[in-house]
Amino acid sequence: MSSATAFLARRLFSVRGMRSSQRVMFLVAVVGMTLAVATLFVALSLARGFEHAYRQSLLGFHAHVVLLAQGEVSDATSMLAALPERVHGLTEATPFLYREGLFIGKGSIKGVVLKGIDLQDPSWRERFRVSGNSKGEGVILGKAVFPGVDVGETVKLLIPKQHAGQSPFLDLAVAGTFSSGLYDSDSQFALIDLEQLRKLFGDPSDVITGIELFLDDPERAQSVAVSLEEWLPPTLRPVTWQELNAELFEAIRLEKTVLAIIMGMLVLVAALNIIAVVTVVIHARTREMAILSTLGISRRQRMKLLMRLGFTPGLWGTLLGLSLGIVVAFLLTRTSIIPIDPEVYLLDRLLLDLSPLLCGIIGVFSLGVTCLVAAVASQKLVSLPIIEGLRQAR
Amino acid sequence: MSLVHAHDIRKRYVDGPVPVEVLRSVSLTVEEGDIVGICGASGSGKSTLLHLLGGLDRATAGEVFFDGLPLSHRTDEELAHLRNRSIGFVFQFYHLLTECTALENVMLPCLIAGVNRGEATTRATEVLVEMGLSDRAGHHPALLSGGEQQRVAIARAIVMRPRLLLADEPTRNLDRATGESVWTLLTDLSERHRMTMVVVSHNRDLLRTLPRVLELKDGRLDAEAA
Repeated sequence: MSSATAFLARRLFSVRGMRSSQRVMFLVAVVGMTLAVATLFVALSLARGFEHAYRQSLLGFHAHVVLLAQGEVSDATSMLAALPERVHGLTEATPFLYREGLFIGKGSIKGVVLKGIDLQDPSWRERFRVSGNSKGEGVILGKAVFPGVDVGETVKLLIPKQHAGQSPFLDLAVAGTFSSGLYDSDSQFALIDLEQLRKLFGDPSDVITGIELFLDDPERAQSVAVSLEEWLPPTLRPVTWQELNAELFEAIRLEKTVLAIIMGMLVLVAALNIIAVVTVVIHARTREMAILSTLGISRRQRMKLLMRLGFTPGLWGTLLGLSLGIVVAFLLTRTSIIPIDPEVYLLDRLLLDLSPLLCGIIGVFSLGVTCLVAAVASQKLVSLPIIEGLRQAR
Repeated sequence: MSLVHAHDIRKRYVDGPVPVEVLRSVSLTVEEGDIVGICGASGSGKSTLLHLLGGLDRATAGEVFFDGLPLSHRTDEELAHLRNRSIGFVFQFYHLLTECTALENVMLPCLIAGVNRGEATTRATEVLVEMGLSDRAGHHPALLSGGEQQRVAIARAIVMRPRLLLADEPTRNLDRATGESVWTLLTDLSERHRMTMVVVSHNRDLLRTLPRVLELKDGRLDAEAA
């Protein structure tokens, strides 16, 4: 900005130099922009936080690529041995078996999916956030299967097929509980040692439902799945975590888009206040603008002056709005001001993603809208008649 | 070549059902270095003529030439540039920016022209010294007397060393003695800097001191009325 416009902006359009009614309008414009930007920031942080949390929880509980059997497969030993060579970036490959059963415990009955995995492998403890001292004996229940169940307690499992003379009810000790962060998983799954599960259900010693693959970069899941498709036998089909949860992520993406549009409109409406501020202040400065015209101020310089006048409340509103948004988001993550029902939202706590990138995008958007609105207002007001202004100056 | 030439200019205002024709076929030639006085009754169109000569307003018909070039062909940007570099205005009501000090008011044309702040301060200070206002440089207009304000306005008008100075009733708001002092200052400056000046005034006593005086009557610049 040239020294003339900067100097004149300071002298003519400083908030201090405004009349009280203009100051109130200026304040309203700043407050409006602040609230709109803060709302946009919190809403998008919330949407991103949910997306991030879902993703983390899903990636913790579910594998990045699942080699899913059409029915079930036996003797996957050679395939498991060959996988590290076939899949670049593979961190873990583990067979699993799904079985369904009814658990009776804590005075209630729950239909549960029993997931048989190799509990000798220590990595599962961290992945499933298991509490309890289990080394793999007994069953590890999702924390929402029987809320309040203690480690060491016994629950009954009703299995649909049993050996001759065997009771359909089996007593299983609760070896621990796990928390995946997803209510669906925590309320519908139980972990059990793979061998034990086969024995319980009388399955052959090598039967599995599929093989779970964990990668160093989950985003490579799709390319890994494609590369495995030709190599795998027809009985196995690779499915990525994105495909398994496509509907959920599509819903989140839609929610984010709708939120961005609606909250973006709020910013636009708040920015429209700026037109009112610029109009009122400029009409109060018709005399000064006319005098400056006699001194030879150009249209371009007048535009710069008006743009600066319009941009100032937008800049203040954006900076204050982002600051307020960060504070509100921080409070929401640290306190339980807004309790959420895990049965509805699948998650047990409010999560916000306070990303500097999001701050930047919202800041640029808000200032862009402000510039646009200020430019429109300035364009309309830049051609005030000089003679009329000089008459007012008497 | 004349510095300013108005050829058969007319100015009509449409405000209400009946249009008001303020200027009817006015022609005027002002040579470089001339000092021309224009007198006339209130509402005779003196200020309107000055505005047209300075490119602040456009004529309904006819043409104003500055340095041989018609003003009607110039864009708003070009007219602004002309006003900034080549034309200085002095008004009856001083038209100083009340938010700025005397020095800052005088600096304004320089800043608008893109002169850096240091250079603008130097130029403005020199002109204020010439006006005898060096001790008033830091004062805001509200703290200056009418005569001082008008001298600041004159300093602002001449700080860019314009070729043409247009003064619209520069003494009307001043008492007799101050008015005469301002008048003398204007004519002296004009002669000293060889600045062409067109001055509008109702005060025939002051106008008599000028070499050339024209009278605007019924929208026409009838005859020289010295």
